[in-house]
Amino acid sequence: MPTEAPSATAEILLLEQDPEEVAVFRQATDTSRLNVVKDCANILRFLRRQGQHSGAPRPDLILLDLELSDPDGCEMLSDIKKDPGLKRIPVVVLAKSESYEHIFQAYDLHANAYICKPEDREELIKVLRATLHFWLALARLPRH
Amino acid sequence: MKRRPIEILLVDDSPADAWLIRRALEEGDTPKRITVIADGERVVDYLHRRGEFANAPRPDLILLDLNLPRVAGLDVLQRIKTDPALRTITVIVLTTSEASIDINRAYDLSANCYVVKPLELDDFTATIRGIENFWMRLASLPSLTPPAGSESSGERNKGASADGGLNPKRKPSVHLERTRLTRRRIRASLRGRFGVHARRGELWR
Repeated sequence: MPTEAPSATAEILLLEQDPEEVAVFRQATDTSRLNVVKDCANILRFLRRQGQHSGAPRPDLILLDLELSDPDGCEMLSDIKKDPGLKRIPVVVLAKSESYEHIFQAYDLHANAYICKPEDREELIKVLRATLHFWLALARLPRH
Repeated sequence: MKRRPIEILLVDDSPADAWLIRRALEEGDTPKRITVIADGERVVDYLHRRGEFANAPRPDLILLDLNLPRVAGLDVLQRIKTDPALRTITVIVLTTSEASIDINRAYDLSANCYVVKPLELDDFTATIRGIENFWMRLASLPSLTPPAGSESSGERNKGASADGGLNPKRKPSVHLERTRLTRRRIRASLRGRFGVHARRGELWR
């Protein structure tokens, strides 16, 4: 039995400040359903459909380009994972830091996975494709 | 990058599935040690190092079936993820259930991910390979990251290679919690799962 291919229809929410990196994500995802927000406050507004995000789709997967050394980022991750209406959406953290403290903290706040983001653009595309392959083709995502 | 074999706790009460998952994991080249437990209550004892499990290693990764005797898989998941000492352990739910209610509940209880066991043998191997690729190569796990101020990674590597942990050629070791998984029992269970294939001996290549 062929597995469902939800990748074509999956809604991805990406937190990314750097426009160049957004372009890399777009290249890796091959999907038009990539919703990009630039800061932590807007992630929560998007997820809660507040203000300009009133018509926002509910994402199937959240990708956060985020350093755990950033208190706002930690608080936002914690807010998502404490909200009974949002917590089931898988959150993958992509960060430059390889430090134990940050990796531990991400999982302690119930991030679903932590990926160290490679500096090299080609490597990053590979990592993103492999990540999306796992989450969209192999894992089963929660339904709304 | 990996400094010692990955400790995997495989929780599954189906001898056929446990055998298939183990075999597929052993085929992957990430050094690993696999412990198999078939009972939810014993998993809780294992994680808390109670009784006979006083010296049990802390798992880096748990593959958790939902249908377990005594303590159900979702209860095991809840106990792990609400315990501050255990909650950073990655728990991959790996089960036959495709029911939305189970998928949603598992994510609500902070499962790291939910994977459905495929019905076909080839897909089964591919699925386990996919889990290995993502969770044992791509993702960073806290228990496999040296804390700051600890020995340098070079020192750690030296220590790990002393017990052969770094040698990728080394066969992963498997600890069966009990020896009840006899060959005959596995074969009977495989026959139940795959019908004629198991009888033809295709699974015993």
